[in-house]
This record gives sequence, structure tokens and C-alpha cells, in this order.
Amino acid sequence: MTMDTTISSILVPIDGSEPSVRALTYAAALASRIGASLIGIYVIDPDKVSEQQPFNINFGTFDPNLEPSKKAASDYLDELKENLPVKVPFTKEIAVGYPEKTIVRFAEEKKVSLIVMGNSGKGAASSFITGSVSYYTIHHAKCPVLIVK
Amino acid sequence: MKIDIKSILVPVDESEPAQHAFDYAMTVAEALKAKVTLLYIVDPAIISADNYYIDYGQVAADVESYKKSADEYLDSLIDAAPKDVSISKVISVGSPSREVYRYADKEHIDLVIMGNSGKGAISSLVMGSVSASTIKHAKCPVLIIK
Repeated sequence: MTMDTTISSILVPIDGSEPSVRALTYAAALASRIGASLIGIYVIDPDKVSEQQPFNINFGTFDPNLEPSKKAASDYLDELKENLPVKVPFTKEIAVGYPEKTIVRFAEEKKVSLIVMGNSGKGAASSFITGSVSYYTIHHAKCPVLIVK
Repeated sequence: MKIDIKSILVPVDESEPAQHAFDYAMTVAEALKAKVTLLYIVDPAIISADNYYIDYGQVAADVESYKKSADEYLDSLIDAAPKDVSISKVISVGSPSREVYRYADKEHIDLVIMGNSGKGAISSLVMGSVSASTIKHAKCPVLIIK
């Protein structure tokens, strides 16, 4: 059985953590050398957003559209794109859901060639322990996954 | 962070994920003009589990014959590789879970490309202990292929 080894698009899940930014830098360098394009995906976890507003007793004030979070994520991805060390085609994607499931589903739907991600995300106790999102992605993604420390 | 990829380590056994990792590494190495090292680890624990020994001196003799067949397997991969990729082969004896990251660290490898699971895996969808250990301990990035 032979496999398709072409790398045309690289998906990079970004959550604002240092490992995820390192993964983006790595993916950009790789993409520029092999002629691939990048998709930076920021997944907003609604559970985490509501955790950050713990005194939101009146749920009527909780914005179910998550517009402020989406706007912040979008601005953040724009900023990362501006600061990329090399110029490569970069598309941003803002999604809402459980990060690991959203990443895997997106990768399959868009048929990305490769996922490049950090070893651990935001809130990780140690960057030397494989985070739950990277672990889930390696397990469930059909495409290759590159883990950057 | 080191981004320049000059050396790629590909740990292989005769499994299908290893073959995929090898194919993938060839594409990446060609594009990046990186050198590839194929690493085959002969695990004495597997040899003694595969065979029934009365005389344990026989394990050492069998390690030699496993190394010989590993060498032939590596040569068959190299023969099928694109001619413009520089490939070397290394055979070592030990526990694959430890030997892969130790080799990668010792030789300052830039990237490890490996299958998700190896020869003895029940399912290729479950991450093998060798890839899990390599991701956990290796200092360099690790690319996992199904």
C-alpha cells in the first residue's frame, strides 16, 4: 500500500500558548521550504469562556455567540501572521467547540496534509507532558501529526 | 528553536506504519535536502518472548541472526529509495522505547519521522508505546504517521 506523501496544506492549532506559537514558527519555516500553505486554527472552547466569567449568575448576559472571543482570536491570528519570520500563504480559521474534536474534524473536512502542533497547550502543568489535545489528535487524525516541543 | 531540518531519523520495523513513515521521510528529505538515518532496534525481550529457550546463551546467537535479517530489510528500503536522498542505516540492540529518543538526542537529530505503531501492534489506531515514549522524551520534533 502506498500513501500520498504530498504536503500542500499544514494545519496549525493555536491557543495562545508558547508551544502553539513555536509550532506556528516551525510550520511556517517548513511550509516555505516545501511550498505548502498554512491554516492557523483557533478553537474557542465555550466551557473555558464561561469559566472565565464565574460570577455570571445571570446567564442572560452570557453572549452565546462568543463575539468578543471570536474577535480577540481573529485579531490574535492576524498579529501572528504579521510576525511570521517567513512569508507563506496563511489562512485563519476561528471555530467554536471542543478543541481536540474540532481540530480532527476540520483536518478531515479540509483534507489537510499535515498537522503541526505544540506538545502541550494553554494551562499545561509541564510542557514535557503530552497535552490531552495533542494526544487526542495523534490518536484520531487520519493525517500525519508533527509534535513540536 | 532550531527549524533547519538537516537530519531525519526514521525508526523502522517491518510494519506498514513504518513503511509509510519511510515513504513520507523520503518526500520530506528530498524537498529539504536532509540526510536520513534508518534505525532498526533489535529488542532482546521480543526475541526471548518469541522463542522458548532452555539455553539462554542461544538468545545472543539469535540476536545476531535478527540483526542480519534487519540489515537485509534496511537494504531493501534503501534500494527502493530515490537516488538523490542520502540514507544511512543503524542497527542497535535494546528497548525501542528508550533507544529511539536516546539515539535522536545523542546524534542531534532535527526531526524524527515514525509510524504510529509497530509490528506487534493490535491496532494501528492506538498509539504505540515506542511513539508515545519518543514524543515524551525526545528533544526534537516528532512526526507521527498512521
